Amino acid sequence: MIALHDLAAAWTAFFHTPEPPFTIALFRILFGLVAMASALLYLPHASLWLGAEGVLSRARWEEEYGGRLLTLFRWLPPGRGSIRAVFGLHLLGAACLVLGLATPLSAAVVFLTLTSIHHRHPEVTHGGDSLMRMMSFLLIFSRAGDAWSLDAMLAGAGAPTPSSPWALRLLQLQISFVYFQSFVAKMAGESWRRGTAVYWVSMVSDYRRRPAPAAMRTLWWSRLATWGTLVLEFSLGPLVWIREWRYPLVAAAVVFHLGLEVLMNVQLFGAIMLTGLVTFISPYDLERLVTALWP
Amino acid sequence: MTGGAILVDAFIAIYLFVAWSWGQPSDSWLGRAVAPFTRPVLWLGLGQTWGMFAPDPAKVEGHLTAVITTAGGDRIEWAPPRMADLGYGEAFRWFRHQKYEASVLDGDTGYLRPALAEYLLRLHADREPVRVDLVYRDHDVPGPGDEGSDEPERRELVFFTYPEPS
Repeated sequence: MIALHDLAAAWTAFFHTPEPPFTIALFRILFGLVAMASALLYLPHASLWLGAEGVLSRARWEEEYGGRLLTLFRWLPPGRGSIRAVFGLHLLGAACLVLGLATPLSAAVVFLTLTSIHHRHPEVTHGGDSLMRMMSFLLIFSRAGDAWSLDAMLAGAGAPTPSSPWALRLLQLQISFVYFQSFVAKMAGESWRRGTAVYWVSMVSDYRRRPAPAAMRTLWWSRLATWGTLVLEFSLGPLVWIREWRYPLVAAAVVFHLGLEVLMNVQLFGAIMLTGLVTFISPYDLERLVTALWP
Repeated sequence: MTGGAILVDAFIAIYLFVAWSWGQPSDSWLGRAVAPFTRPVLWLGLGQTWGMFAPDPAKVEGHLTAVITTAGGDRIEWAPPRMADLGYGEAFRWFRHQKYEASVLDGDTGYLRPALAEYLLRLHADREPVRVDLVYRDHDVPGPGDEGSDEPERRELVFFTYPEPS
C-alpha cells in the first residue's frame, strides 16, 4: 500500500518542484498568437454569429441561455459597436500575452473575451475553442510573464527565478486528458474498433480539404490510420508521463496534427493542439536550445 | 503549509476532478459527485467532453438547405457553403458555417431552427417572405471497395417549417 505521506510527497514533487518558467513563457507567446488568429478568422462573420439580428438573435439567445453562460454581450448594448469592442479588447489582450505585458491581467482579459464570444453562440464553437478557454483560464494563475516578457524586462530582473509550475502541470494534464478522453470516446464506436473510421472521415466532404488519394481510400490504409490514431491518443494519456517516451510521443503527435492539417479542414484545432504540446518540452531543454541559438 | 498553498492544492484537486468527471452519466457516482460544480463550471465555459469523430464518423453526405417561399409564390434557396468547394484560406474563414450547419441539423439544438428561419425572413424582407422550410438532403457514401458502383440514392426531408404549425 502507498502511504498517505508518500502520496502527498509525490503530489508536492509533481506540482510544486520549482523550475524555470521558459516552457510556460513559450506557451504564452504561441497561445497569444493563436488567440489573435482565432479572433481574426471569426471577425468577418462576427455580425452573422453574434449580432442582435444575426442567425441567433439576442432574444432567442436570451430565451435559450439567459444568465446560464458568462458573456459580456449580455451587458453590452446590441449592435456592431459591442462586437468591435469585445474583439478589440480580445486582440489587445492576446497581443499583450505575446509581449508578456501585464501577463495575468492579459490572460484574464483573453479568457473573458473568448468566453464572451463563444458563449454568445455556443453552437458555432469547436473543441479547439473549448481548449483555448481552458488554456487562457490556467494561464491567469501561471508565472508565464516571468521570462521572455516585457513584464520581466520592466521589472529589471535578471535570470528568472524557478517557481512552482503547478499551472503548467495542469495545462499538461489538460492536454493529456483531451487525447485520452478522445481515445475512450472513440473506443465506443464500431468503426474505430473495426478500423474503418478514417476511411469514412476522408470520404465525407465536411472536413476534408481535398479528395484523399486512391491509396488512402483502401481498407488497409484506413486500418493503419484508424488504429494508429487510437494508439497515439491512448499513449498521449498515460504514457506521455514516462520521461523517456515523452519526446517521441510528442514528435508523433506533431506529425499526426501536421498530417491532419494537410488532409483536413479542422481550422485552428491543429495549431491549438500543437501549442498545447509545447507544454511537454522541458524548460531546461528550452534554456539549452535558446543558449545554443543565441549564446 | 500556508493558507495560500492549501488553496492552490484545493484548486488543483477540484480542476482535475471536474475535468475527469465532466460528461459522466448523471446517475453514476462520478456524475453525482460533479453535479454541485455544474452551474459555475458551465457559466465559466470550463465544461469539457472530447471526442472528435466519436463514437463514429458520419457515413452519409448530408447537407442543409433552406427554402424561403415569398407571398408571390417564388422560392429562394439558401445553403451554407460546402467546405469541399472552398480554397485553403477560405475554408479557414468559413469553417464555423460547417459547425453551424451540423448544429442546425442536430436535434439537440432545435432552438437554432426557428432562429435561422427568422434570420432568413429578415434577410429577404424586401421580397415578402411568408414561409421557410429547412430541408435535409443526403446520400450514402460508398463503403471501402464500393466506390464506382451505382449512383447512390438521394434523399430529401423537410424537417422544420416556419411559422411552426400550431
